[in-house]
Amino acid sequence: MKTFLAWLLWLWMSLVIVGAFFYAPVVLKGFRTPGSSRIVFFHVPMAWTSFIAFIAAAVWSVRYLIRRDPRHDRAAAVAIQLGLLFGVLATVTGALWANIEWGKFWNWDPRQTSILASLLFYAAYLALRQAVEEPEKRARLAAVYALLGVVVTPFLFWVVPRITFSLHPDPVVNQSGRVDMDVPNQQVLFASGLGFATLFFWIHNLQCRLQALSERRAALKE
Amino acid sequence: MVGVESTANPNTWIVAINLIIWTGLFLYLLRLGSKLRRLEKHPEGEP
Repeated sequence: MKTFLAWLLWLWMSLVIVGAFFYAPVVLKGFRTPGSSRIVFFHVPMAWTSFIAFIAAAVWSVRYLIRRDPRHDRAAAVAIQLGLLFGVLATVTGALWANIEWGKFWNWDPRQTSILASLLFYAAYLALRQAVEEPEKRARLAAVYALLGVVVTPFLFWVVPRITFSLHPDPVVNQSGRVDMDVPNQQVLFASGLGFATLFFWIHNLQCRLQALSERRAALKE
Repeated sequence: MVGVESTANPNTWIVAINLIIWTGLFLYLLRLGSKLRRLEKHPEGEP
């Protein structure tokens, strides 16, 4: 990422942080403890970013299957690692919030359960990669598995929490599938979503380059 | 004697800590990016 764009991201996310506490109004429909509603500006975008990462991994996997370029396999694997990281962060922040709002860290709410299932699904992807030694076979199997995610992920992220009763507040998880909030809240939420997604692509780029360098150095040593 | 009450908004501290954490992560990534650029140009051990 260009240094100028990186600083723009710093400014953008700093404004999101300030906006979440000083610009967006606290009371959101469906929250028992309105002060805790601010978590929506961080927890929800992290879950969205996790979803974007898993879909991006599927796209890179398709590209790998078409071109057999190891860079695409690496990009898919890194996307899934980062998707898991953002997913775990969303789950942990959600559990902390659930303890305040619902009195328990874990409630087997459909949303909590579905994100846990998707995290386990992608953890299995990493296990699969560890289990196959031959690089080409590993990349091919991993790509096909990541492609399955195109079916599994949208179902777990968007369908399951909306077809069953959820404890989650109405503004974000509802039958209409739309974000039902005041305009300032929506502005901060979507700005945060954009910031987190950009952060994902930046870290993804750095991690891919880092792995490429490590592989290059390992090949030189052999 | 009149008690002295703090008028500072408690959110100010939360925002300040969040900004410090975010800036720290940002500077780390920025530094990692420039280090990677340097290594990509002149990888150690390469002829």
